[in-house]
Amino acid sequence: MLQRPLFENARLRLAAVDLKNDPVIESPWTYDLNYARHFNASPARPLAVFEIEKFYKELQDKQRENAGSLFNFMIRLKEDDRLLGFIRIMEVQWVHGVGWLALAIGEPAYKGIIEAEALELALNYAFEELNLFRLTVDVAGYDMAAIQLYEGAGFSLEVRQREMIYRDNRFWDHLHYGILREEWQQRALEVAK
Amino acid sequence: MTIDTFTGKLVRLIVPDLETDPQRTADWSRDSEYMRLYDTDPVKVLSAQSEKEELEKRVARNLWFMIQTLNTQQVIGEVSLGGIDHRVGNAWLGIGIGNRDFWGKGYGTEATRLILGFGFRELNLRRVSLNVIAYNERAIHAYEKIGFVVEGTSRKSILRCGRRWDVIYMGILREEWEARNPPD
Repeated sequence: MLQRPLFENARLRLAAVDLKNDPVIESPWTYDLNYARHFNASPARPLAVFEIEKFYKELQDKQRENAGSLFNFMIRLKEDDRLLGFIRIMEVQWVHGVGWLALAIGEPAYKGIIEAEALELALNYAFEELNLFRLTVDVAGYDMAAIQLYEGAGFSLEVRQREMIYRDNRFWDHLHYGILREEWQQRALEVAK
Repeated sequence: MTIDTFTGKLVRLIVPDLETDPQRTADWSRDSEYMRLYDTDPVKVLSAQSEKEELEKRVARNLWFMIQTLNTQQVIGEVSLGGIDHRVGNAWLGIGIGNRDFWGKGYGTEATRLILGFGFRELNLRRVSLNVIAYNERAIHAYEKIGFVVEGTSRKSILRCGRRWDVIYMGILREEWEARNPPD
């Protein structure tokens, strides 16, 4: 149990942010508005290197101040240590054992390929180390890849806020997907069989 | 031309008073049942001093009104639209009737209708969202009466009194609001 590594699986590892190098790599990825949308809550737009650097600096301060209601990991490829994206567990309410997840892969060669493996690490950390009871992720109604990813990992569609997102000249629903610890455990048992 | 969007038949919405309201909301915070209906964070007894600072922040960030009764001029609660996103035209509703003598008598319902009218007709909102803990049945009933639709359930999100409770998400679109509240 304790020996099982939390911060790596077959191909990926979870890393701390590298303030000097990571923002330089991430900035071009934010031209993909879907990546920018996951990055922060502001209206999605391309972000400059210095903005991303500032974001991570503030995030590190927040991580220290809030006694852990925010957990950020950069996702790296074990093979060559390349940056692929990030996962964040945010807005943790310890009394209720709940939190929100954000996950995005920006490296073009691994987009649409490695998300499920990154999600596996995020869920394992949320349930086995943070002891959360449930985890929620919000998804834009047009993001079919994310819908498939989360449904495939055992999340259920819980909330559909109608016409809450605007993109490409039309409104879309804002979806909340949730997974309970017991559902994740049940699934892990089935996969192990 | 005078437009009074803020007065109904039972209540009117008034701007907060930094001198008197902080003591009032601090007094309401001693009612743990009220506070547990109002918020998901662990409830605390609040001081007038801290409430004064909080009230200033609330007014800066939200459209924040106190609810006053028309016949006795009592301030009985607060109602707000926060997290306003003008891009998509969404805001989040918050309401609490701190004076429990006025629970279940339509005061909160009318205050909600008044602020929604302001949101849709003045702020040009397209939708208003809220969430509510499932044990707050009185509130859910009032929201449904106003025209809010259940948009989903965050299962077992709240742990209180040794039980897990759902959080219900509700929303109302402008056309749903207009259908129930045609312009004069």
